[in-house]
Amino acid sequence: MSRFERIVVVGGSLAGMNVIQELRRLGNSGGITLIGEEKVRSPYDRTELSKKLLTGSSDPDDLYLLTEEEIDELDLDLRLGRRATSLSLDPSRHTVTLDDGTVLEFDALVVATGSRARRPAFMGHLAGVHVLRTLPDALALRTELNSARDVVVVGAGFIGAEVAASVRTRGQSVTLVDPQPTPLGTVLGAIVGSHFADLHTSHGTDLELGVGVQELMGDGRVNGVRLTDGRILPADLVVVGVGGAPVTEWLDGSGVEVDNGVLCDDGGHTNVPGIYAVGDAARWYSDYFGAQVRSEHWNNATLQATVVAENLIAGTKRSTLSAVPSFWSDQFRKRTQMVGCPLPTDQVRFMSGAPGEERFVALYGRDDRVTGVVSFNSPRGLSKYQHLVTARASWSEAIGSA
Amino acid sequence: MHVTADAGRCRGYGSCMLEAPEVFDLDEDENKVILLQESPPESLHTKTDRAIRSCPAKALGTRDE
Repeated sequence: MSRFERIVVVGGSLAGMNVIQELRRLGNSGGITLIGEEKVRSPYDRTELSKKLLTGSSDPDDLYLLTEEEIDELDLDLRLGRRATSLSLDPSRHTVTLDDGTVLEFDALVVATGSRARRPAFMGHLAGVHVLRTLPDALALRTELNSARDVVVVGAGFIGAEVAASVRTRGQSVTLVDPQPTPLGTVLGAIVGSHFADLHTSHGTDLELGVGVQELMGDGRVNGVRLTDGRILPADLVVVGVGGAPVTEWLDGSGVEVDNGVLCDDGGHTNVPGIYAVGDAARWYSDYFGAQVRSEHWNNATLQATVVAENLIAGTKRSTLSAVPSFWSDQFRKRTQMVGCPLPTDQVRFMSGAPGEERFVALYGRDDRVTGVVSFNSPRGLSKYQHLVTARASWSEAIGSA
Repeated sequence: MHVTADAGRCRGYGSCMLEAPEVFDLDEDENKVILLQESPPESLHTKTDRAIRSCPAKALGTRDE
């Protein structure tokens, strides 16, 4: 039984719902209120929005993470389609206010408000210009794709690269634009990034790399993308994937510390007793990095949720997050996975396979420490080397033993 | 603890293998989970439990013995 009688969870996606599921699994039977901005019947698998949902091999029904019965069994006070607008930490009474004016009192609060897609100034307000974050975003994009001729994807990070791959998988033409010299270059560096450039080129993606976007052109509806070198790409559909920003404005002035995410210790606790944060909106202290880091990945959301549920039950910091970041990406039916957090300038050594091959495992290192491992179509390879990342093994010994 | 793996639901993320390589493996050609031991010893229960809950495809579980 938790020492907190009334728990409010703000945010009904993966991280928030996982906290609740863990609380119930651990025996908590107290009152839990869930505030969810999206009016959906269950949290859904966002990771497939850029993949199977766009290609059409999945429909929304395939993406829901819980059945209606499973939601009912959690016995929640559900406030869906509602948004938290402010937090008040009066010493005698802690409350959260919703956009319909409702004021909810709580003993413990979990911030799980996630992130929203960044919208650079050049996006403007033309029709045919999309970001991809929510199920409605993805469905709107999929509908417009059905009649699109010239698709331009701005941003060759994971979301942009996945969207471009999905558009090609649908058999449509697509151009991927990014100021970096390779796709995924800011994460994976130039050597592994080149592999993804070749992967895309061989599947028919047009790449415009090392060049930025000056402006979107059109009258009412987008009809072109002007690049920073002056050239104009024809475009009747543009997808902008340039990262996410944490949704924390509603905490402004409350006393909860926020700096590119809600600042938390390694147990998910904020600077305010009884207030925790998880998922994309949170920035937890990481013993591994010796700093506070924000991660927008599935594995992070689920692991943090488990830790926070255990700490809510204990009423003290009993559990901490020790895991090293990890994530995956699927493009052209190939799976890329990573453990660790290398810099693009790190040294790279292929422990098996090589760029351009069907499978490979790349180890990253700097300052004689292993910093990460990336596998392409080889989860076993990732498993084989991940302990080197966790243990910060010596780089020279690790590659010497290959 | 009796571990179950539903190969039909498995999508080959390998999260289970990363959490508990003593219990789970992955067939890279089929991209499907392989259960190395159905009844892991007590010492592996915490790890196995985390592995089961880490599965994005919810392909893993336990059943009563």
